[in-house]
Amino acid sequence: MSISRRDALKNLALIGGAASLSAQAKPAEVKPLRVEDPRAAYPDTKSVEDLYRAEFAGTRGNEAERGFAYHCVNCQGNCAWEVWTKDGKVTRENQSSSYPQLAPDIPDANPRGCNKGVQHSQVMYTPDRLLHPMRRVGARGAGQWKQITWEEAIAEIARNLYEGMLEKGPAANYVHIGAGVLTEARAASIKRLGSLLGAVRPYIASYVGDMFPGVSVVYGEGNIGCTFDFLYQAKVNVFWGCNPNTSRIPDAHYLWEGKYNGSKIIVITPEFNSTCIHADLWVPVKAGYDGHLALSILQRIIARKLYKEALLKEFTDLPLLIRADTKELLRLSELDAAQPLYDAKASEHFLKKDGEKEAKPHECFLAFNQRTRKLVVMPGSEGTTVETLRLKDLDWDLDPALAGTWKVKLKDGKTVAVTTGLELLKKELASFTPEKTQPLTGIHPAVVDELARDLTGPKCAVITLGFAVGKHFHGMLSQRAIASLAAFTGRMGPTGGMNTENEWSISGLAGLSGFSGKYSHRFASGFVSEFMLGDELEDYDKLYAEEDVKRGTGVGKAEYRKKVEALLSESEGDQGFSRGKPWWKSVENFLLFADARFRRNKGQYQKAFLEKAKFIAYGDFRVSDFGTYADLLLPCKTPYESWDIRTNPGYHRFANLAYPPPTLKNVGESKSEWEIATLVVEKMEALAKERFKRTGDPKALKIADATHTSTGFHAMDELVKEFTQDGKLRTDKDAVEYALEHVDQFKPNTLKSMYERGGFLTLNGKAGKTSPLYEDRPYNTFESQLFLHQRFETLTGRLTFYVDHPLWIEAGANVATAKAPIRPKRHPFVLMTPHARWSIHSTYKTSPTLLRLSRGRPYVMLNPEVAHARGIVDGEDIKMFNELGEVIIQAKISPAVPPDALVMEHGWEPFMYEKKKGHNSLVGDMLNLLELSDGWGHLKFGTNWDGNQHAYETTLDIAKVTT
Amino acid sequence: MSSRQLAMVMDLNKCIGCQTCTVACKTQWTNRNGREYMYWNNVETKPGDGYPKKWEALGGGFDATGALQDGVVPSKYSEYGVPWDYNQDQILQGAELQPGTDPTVGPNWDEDVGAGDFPNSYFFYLPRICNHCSNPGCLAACPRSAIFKRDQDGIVLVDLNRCEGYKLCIAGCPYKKIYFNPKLSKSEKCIFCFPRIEKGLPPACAQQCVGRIRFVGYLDDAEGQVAKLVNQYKVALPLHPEYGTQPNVYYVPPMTGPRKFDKHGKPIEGSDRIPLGYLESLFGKAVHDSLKTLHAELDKRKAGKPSELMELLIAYKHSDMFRLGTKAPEGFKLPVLK
Amino acid sequence: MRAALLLVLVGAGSARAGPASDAFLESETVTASPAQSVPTTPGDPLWMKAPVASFRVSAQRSVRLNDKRANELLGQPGFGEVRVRALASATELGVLLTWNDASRNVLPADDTNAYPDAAAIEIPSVFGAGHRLPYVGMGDVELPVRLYLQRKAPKGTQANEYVAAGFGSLTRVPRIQATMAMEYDEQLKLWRAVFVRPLQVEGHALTQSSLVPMAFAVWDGARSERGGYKQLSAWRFVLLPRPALDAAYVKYLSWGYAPGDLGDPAKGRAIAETVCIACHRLPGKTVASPGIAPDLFDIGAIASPIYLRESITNPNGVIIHAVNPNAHYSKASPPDKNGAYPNADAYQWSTTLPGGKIVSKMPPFTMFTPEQVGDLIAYLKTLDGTKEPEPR
Repeated sequence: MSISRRDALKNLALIGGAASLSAQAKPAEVKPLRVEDPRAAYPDTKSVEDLYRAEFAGTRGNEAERGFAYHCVNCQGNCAWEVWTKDGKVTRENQSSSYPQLAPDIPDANPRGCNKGVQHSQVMYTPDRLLHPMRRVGARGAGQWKQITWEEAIAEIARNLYEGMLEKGPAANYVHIGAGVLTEARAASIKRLGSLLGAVRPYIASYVGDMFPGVSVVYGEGNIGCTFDFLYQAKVNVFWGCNPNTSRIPDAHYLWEGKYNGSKIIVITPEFNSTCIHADLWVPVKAGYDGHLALSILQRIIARKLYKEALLKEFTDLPLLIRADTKELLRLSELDAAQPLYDAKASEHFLKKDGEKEAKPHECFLAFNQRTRKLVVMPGSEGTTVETLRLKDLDWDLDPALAGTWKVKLKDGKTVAVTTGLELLKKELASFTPEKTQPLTGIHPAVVDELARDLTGPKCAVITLGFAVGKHFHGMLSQRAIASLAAFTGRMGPTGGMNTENEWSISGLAGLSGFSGKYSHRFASGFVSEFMLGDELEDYDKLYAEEDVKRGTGVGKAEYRKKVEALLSESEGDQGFSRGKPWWKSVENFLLFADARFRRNKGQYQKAFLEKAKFIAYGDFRVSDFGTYADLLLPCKTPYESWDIRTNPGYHRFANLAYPPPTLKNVGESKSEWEIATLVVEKMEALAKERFKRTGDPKALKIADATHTSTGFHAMDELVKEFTQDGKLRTDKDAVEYALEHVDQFKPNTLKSMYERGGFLTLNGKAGKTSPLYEDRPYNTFESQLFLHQRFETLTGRLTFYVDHPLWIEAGANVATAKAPIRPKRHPFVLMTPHARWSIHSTYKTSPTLLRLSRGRPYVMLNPEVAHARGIVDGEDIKMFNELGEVIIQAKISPAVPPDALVMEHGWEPFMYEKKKGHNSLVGDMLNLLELSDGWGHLKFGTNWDGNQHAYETTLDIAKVTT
Repeated sequence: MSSRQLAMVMDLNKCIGCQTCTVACKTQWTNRNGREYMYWNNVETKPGDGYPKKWEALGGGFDATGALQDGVVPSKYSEYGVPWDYNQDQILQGAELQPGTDPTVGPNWDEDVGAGDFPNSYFFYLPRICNHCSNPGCLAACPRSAIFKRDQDGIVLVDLNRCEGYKLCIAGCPYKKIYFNPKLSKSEKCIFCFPRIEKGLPPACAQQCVGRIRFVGYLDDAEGQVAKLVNQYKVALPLHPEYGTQPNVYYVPPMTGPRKFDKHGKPIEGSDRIPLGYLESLFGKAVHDSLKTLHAELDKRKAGKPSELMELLIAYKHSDMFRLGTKAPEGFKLPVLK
Repeated sequence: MRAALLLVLVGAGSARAGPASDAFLESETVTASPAQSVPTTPGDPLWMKAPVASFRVSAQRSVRLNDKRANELLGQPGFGEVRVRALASATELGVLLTWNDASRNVLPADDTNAYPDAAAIEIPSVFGAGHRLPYVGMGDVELPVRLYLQRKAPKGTQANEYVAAGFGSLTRVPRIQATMAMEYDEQLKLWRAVFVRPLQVEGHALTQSSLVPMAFAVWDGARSERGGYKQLSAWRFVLLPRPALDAAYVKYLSWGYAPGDLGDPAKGRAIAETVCIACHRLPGKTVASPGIAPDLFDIGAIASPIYLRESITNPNGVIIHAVNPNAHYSKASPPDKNGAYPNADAYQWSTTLPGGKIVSKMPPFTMFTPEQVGDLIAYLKTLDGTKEPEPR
């Protein structure tokens, strides 16, 4: 029974080959060995060295069997990794680290990656990996399953989707691939399937609350900004509501290299987070009062004249005239063009027909030209035929007044007073002086002054806005205030400005996920459709009191709810399509992939969802909490087993490749989403044909769809042909090859060239959206506007400070403003759940490797004084509670947390909590009317204009658990 | 006594605490074979108990005369932390996901906690590997002389053929960077990834460091960043030099963080959020000169003047941070820190 | 020279000629009972047929190691004794050790600071008439020893065979030529450990003399004992049934056992506390830096008179390396180019002369008269580790 050393040491070389142990290989010529000074000489270094050498060789495997991948799990960092295998199994990964350096004075992007990607090899083989298709045989969530074949699984999905279409129409089906696979080629599979079937698909960014609608208001789009290497060069870097050291791990080095390069780093967050530690200035704003702070800074900038008038005149709507009576923008369509104050001749330059393009007077706006002292139409709006913002040209010379009041005559004979947007803004800002906001924001006027100087003085200043700001009820207004601040400083192109998430212009992929308009999915508003699926209005009633809603919205609780419901009923279903924020009550069959929605959604969502869902098929590589409630589970591949390509968002200029190691063994029976989708359409087509054969009913083959097909129906007998483009598009590899062939910005590249380079390609110059993508310079934004005077994609063509949508006027939000949160005041702590270091939402949250590097279980951080007052000690389980319930969670005590807040990493799966009751079950929310508003200029539903589900609008109390 | 000494410099001003290094090391070496609980590379939040818990109070190292000091061998249960396993195989069957052992201590237990009072709290990250000391406490403690320094690079290794698992090395290492492998009944430690070094690859923790904080090179390579930061600019300092082991991992100390606030919320000009005394307790008196140099060079850079030091720390090219292929020059000698 | 002469003189006497031999044989030996074959299980009833001898063991204190907790536990009472039985067949010798231990500690499957209970026996590589005894702590430069060590594992025993020639030289024999097993008796709270090996193995015969010198060590995991933290005996002897009693060897070994061989411990103490304390630490007299020479707190419990005499008068014949030559570096010496200070020479117990000859740092104390040597040894024999040394 003796354990020999030989056996023990053999274990060492688990992966490596047999280790040579010279001491053992020799026969028994045994002499006592004494080592004099092992620092100076050692008799046998080789035998132990060889053990470790063999082990290293084992993890590295054969270089020819290397693959490439990235871990696209919605951190969006997107990094090229080398994947090593041995005997068909992934042993390890490391960053490819071969991105080229742009210029000698710009730090390169290597080695992109993070703590989560670096352990993907580990979770590929953990016991929560889904290995086989499974069918539920007990009650939902009861944990009783039967392993079935892929044929059985596909047949069941096809039958449910087909019958749903037949009986209730395409809107019965909800086909969606979630944030776990946010990639260009892989995710296109399920989008394509959904489009072909006309199924409902929600917008991810808004349902997770990661949208920038307030930025869209000002800039016309929410995802704008620079590559992170640009931040390296900025002289001032403000990180607002974000924590790049934790949530932008691959890019964070540019901040600190930037600091060494002379950049001042400023972080604005309520808690002292991991980015604050190296900052030059930390601004501990109170949760939800970011808008107030932004407006204070703006107030100071204006009061101290720290801005450039010329930039405001050319690029903003601040000179545009606004009616005093209605608070609406003065539009050419209502102006009496005959009055002498109107300069018809000068305006004509912007209104004359240009080819097919005709002026639309309702979308033409006016300013007072100080050169002629007359009203003139300003160029560049949606209604003018001239797209430039240029104030001076051969034909015109404009100097729009920023201040003043004028009387103008309208077509209807009325004379009304008009003034400029800047005048109204200044008036509004009088309520937001730093002295007035300090009690709300907690920020001293001296800090506001410093920020006003920092944002206006230096050559280049950037405000990088995180998702946290948008997670408050009035986050959209706060985002808008911050964006207004950036816009007001006139920073564009090399001088910096607003940075949310840059997106590249990638053309040619539409054909992969769609059908050029022949069929399209029912694209639903993310925040609305999830809110309604979860019956969250009921939680709203439970959580918010009359006074909360009054404070936050100005109207009573019932009235507010009524307004919301009225808007929602307008836009519901096919009838409501294009009349607001689309959502479909009719959904009942769910085919979902990589969308662990129960960890994300709030209050009673889970219960409400399960009641509505008739059929749930769920594909993922792992068992998520949501998966445990599915009817059918489909084992999917992970990034290392898939072919894929990924570029956006544009934190960097590379598109990364997923190229499975050639000798990799399949894990269980996992399949790619493309393969699954192809099998589903094959089966659905077979079912349709069979039904037609059986019944002779032509409706079996042609399913009517008036709103989401160009032909009026879905051709069920051509599903396979159309889905696969005549057989060309069946697999994930086909999709990657399609992308390389069709995307201009990827050219010239092949799988081989990408593999040889290290698993990526560099986007060519065509990828730049609002600026050129120079080969040797970091990408920044809006050079086309700054230097070429191109219009912004806004109603007025200008940076938008003024919104005259009736709901906005009614709410007093026509000018930039800020409002108090609606979160209940009766509980002492606001719950903040920022993006985690140890997971990307719930993906990787259950990795033992990563759990061991935090506290192994969900925990909430609280301030030491709070803990002391409540007699709570670090590490003990406490109770968090409010009207929506209670949750048991471990307390972690940290002075980095403000006394009025609880801070916890988000993403924990409900099944990681006692009784599977996760922290989100305590979270309530309400839809913001302004985010629901629609149909105004650039504020029309789409990826740039949807709203957020708010995650931070809940307060809680805590207590010791008494057992 | 080795012919050359390979060394690492870690820039704490760039460390973001992401622990990619920790996991890179784990998958390279310590996710198997009795090493599961070990973190040859760990990153701890300072101030804090660190890993293993309160390691700075566990003894080892040398006194001022050069005599080895007694130390404590930490327990997996109360100081290192059990690598919790989970019932992942049961969640599909409806179970709650639970660790097999109730977590009470771990390698990153006090992550992002730090010290001070809100809003004047402070913390920073301290990544730690074996220091591959010139006078290793572990080597000194081994009654079997089973720990040696490789001649070509000074990497400290345990001769697993001779190790008898007495754990006196663990008591002797003041950094607690050598571990007992219960499966082998032998000690194991960070090997500076010498099998990678031999193939021209930097250690996994350094090559995969996404904060780009780690420089690797020979101390005698005067052109290398390591030698410049350590010997020329003297901004990179050993951790706890008073432990007397002459570590070969050096740290650029954290500059002092954002200004503190007075009771009205006004920033206090010139205030040090991280108390200098605390930094001195970690890096010795030399930390004052190091920080002065860093601030002076940063000011130069801000004024648009060239600063080689800032350029070194910026590290324009990742691959340039590692200089493994150099030859030993004549006449090198490590300057002695005051 | 003089020591060598003494040895010759003593060796010339007859084996069982006097009270010294009797006293020696009475107290220091255990007789191996003849057996057809030697059982390899500790519980085998055959062991009970063999006579038992009880030998004192005491915590090793000659050298100080660096585990803080183990050092704190050093002062607590240990096992006190091991009981030894021996069986010999025509080809094998077996030894059963039993000792009382309140708790069973096994090699930890998991933990990092838990230690197994263990036992070992040590046998000189060469012994018999004409050979002195090696240093009991793993032999010395001239005289290597064989060791058999077993540690209790969760299942079975982790057993190893070693050769050693002084501290730090323990080297495993690749193919174990012995059978070992240990079992804990939960009812009686005692360990039984069996060591059985062929009389003749490669490079080592037990038949060199009928008196097989053997030292015993046991480790108490509960006291963090492992390695040098152990409870050990002095050299004792297993009396084989064959060959016939080695009278010359007995004669040599039994010096110091007759009344009058040793002198006055009080006088010896005076000498020790004026001369020896310069390098050695003694109870109450700890002026020497720990580590520059072996501590003598327990010397009486582990060293036989003959060995003491040898090491006082002819230290170069008994060269022992420092247990931990690297545990002290010299800040007086310049560091090397990488900042490494060299080992402090003061803490090395021997010096290698040009030409490779190793000499002990301890000078031969030839100035002592035989009476003074006897007084000194009489005093040293009183040092059995029970007198608490001053804390460091």
